[in-house]
Amino acid sequence: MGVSVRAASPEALRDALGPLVGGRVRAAAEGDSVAGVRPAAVAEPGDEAAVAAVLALADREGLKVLPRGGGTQLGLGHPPAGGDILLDLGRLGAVVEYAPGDLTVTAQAGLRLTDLQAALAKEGQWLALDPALPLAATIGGIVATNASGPRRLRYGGVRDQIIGVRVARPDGTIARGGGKVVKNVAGFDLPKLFTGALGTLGVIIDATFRLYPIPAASRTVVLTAPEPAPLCDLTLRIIGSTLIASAIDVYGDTTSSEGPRLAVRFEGRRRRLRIRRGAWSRWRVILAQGRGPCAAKRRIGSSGAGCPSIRPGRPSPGWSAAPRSSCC
Amino acid sequence: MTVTDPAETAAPPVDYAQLARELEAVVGPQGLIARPEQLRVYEADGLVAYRQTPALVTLPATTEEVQGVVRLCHRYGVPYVPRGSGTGLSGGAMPVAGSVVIGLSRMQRILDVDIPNQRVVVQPGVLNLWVTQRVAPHGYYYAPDPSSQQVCSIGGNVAENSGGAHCLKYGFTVNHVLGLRVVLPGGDVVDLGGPTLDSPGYDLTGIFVGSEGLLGVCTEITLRIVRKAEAVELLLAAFPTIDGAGEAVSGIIGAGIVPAAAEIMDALAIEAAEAAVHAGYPPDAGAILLVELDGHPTEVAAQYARVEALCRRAGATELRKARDAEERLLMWKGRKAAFAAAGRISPNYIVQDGVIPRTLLPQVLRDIAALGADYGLRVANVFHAGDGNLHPLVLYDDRNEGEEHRAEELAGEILKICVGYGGSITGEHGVGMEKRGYMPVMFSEADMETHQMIRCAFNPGNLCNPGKVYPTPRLCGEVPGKYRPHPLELAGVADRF
Repeated sequence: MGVSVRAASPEALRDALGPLVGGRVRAAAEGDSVAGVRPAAVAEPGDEAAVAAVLALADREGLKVLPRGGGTQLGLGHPPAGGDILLDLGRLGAVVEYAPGDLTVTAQAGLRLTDLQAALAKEGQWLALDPALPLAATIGGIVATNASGPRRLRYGGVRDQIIGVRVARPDGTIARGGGKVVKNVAGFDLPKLFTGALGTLGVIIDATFRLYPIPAASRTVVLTAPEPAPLCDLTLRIIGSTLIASAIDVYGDTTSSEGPRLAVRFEGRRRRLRIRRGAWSRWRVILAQGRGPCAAKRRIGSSGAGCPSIRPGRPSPGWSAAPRSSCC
Repeated sequence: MTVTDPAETAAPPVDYAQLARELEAVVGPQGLIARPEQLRVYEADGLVAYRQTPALVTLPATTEEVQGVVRLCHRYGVPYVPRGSGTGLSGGAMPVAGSVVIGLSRMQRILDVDIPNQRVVVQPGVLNLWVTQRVAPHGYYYAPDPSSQQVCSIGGNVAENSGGAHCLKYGFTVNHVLGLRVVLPGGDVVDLGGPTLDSPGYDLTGIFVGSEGLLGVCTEITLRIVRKAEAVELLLAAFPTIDGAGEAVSGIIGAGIVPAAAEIMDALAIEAAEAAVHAGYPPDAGAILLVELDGHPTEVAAQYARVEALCRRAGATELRKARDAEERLLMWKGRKAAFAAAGRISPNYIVQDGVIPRTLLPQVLRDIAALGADYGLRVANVFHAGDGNLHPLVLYDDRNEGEEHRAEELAGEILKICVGYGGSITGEHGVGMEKRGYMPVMFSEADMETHQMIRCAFNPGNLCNPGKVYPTPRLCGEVPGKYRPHPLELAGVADRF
């Protein structure tokens, strides 16, 4: 090995990277900084061999690598202790294998969630993850940051959906854990280890997930109250009931104009989601079952003595992002 | 880096009599087994074809006692093997030569039941079914339900990431474990995960569950419990052929229905189950399919009608709906007893545990039947059809010269078929001793070497359940990369195995 490319200059580093990534290397722009750390070069590998080659070079030269997907969660974790190469995985954007009949899909790290969901929706299926910023978030980033959204309540988080992973180790070795079948206990669970590891163990090349059918209908009920306590209490009672909610979020606070809100999403057949008739009366039953001081008088839309009122409200805009959802 | 491996640390012969005295000081006289005839009880787990009498067995009653035993084992350089109820089917709890078994069957307390937060904290020796029994009055249950749930322990379920018929909809053990207290190799006690979802940092709970006892001994487990569904329906459909049953399952899943369970049994398995428990299965069917649906009553009713129609379309000759909970239990009893029932139709049998992409079921079953014919052996099939997890039962008679060996070979060939179709060598029974030789069929050298880095991080001395899961455990000081002999191997001190 000759002179260290790092010691030489940023230009020398980019020259060394160029052939490894088909010339897709550039100087870092302001927007490429990660928590204030500005790398010397941005490399955009187009396949797993190029990812491995960049990592092997960095390993030999003692260079720090920052893997990046959609860049939506760069604030998570500690700021990196330096960074020489920003590894932009945006070109690894393929659906590797989609088996609709088996409800499984393998997608490359740089594929955007919205594009994957669009491909799956053609078969009436979806990856049951609804993290923030789906237009920008990528599969690799979602796995690395363990990003999930409100519907984790029903479907679980990344660790519950991921069944296989292919990674490049920091020394450039490609390794695989899990598989492409939904049930598999052979070997240590590498997919879970890489979930939420924030890229500290290696670079995710692709990941395999189990899928779910898109529910025929989806409805969200929003309730407001002057303070959060009764909404939190109601949350516990919904969870403890036989109602199957897909998501329950409490948001807003006493300072916002509408006050604290509780959004509850139900999914399933259209008929069962007739909320005004069937479900509302069932809700009253749940409310009446409460053991709190004002449980007996608590009903939706009315207030008892010392019991803050709970009334219907409007859902927040973020809740309409799910496939085929129709919020009420 | 310092190399620590058993061959090195155990170099002087172990004074087991002295070790036994020191262990007794930790676990008390009732917690130590040293008499040869009593030790033989622990020579095998559910995979009885593999046996090895341990040097000693300890039965600690607390986390501190487990810690004391582990520390002593490390001081003496003696391997140790954690064990729950010993029902595992892959030899994960089988002792290794000269080892100390850490039996957790005295740690049987349910420590905390927190209904509003839907979690239960248990000790590892608590039996799977006890958790459900404890929370059932509150309308809850513990979802993972291996067929052995009446006897298998939660600690063993954690080690094996056990599944069961209902994991199609509700997930496996790992999806229901929130946190663990673990005695690490070396003796440190750590808490992994926590009482809520998503503890910050690495998902060490996720990596520990299913690690088959290689990463430490868990002594407390925080489990999630699930609200009992409002409505449950169980449908039994009989088909003239197994292909029809497979087609029905594909149709059901393709229609966007996720049943709580979807199980298929072939004619031979039906015959065995009927002989054993008289579940009332149609005796002349080529295959039966059990589909359980649960959830909201209107949803379940609509799905049930749909499933019935799909079964008819796939050629079902008989459709039967369980009238009540009692009949449902009876119908399930036949399925859950199917492994043991194989004993009714054959003196010996091997249970296999391959997984395939579900849509390939008919093709794989034809391959298995052809292979069985080649080997001159009968294969009964019981499987979790919804997730493609096959349990072929290879029937043989060990009184016939060479038949046991042929059966083992056939069982191995079946696993290779599964991997060839993109599947796995084990869906829920674990690799253990039994299938470690098949790991290279599924994983490359680089894959397994990477997995070993995890083992080395937790268990660098390789004293904790050595020799399981991976065919050639790396010595942890080795530089990753191409195989080169370790200095200890060159010196003739250590062997690869």
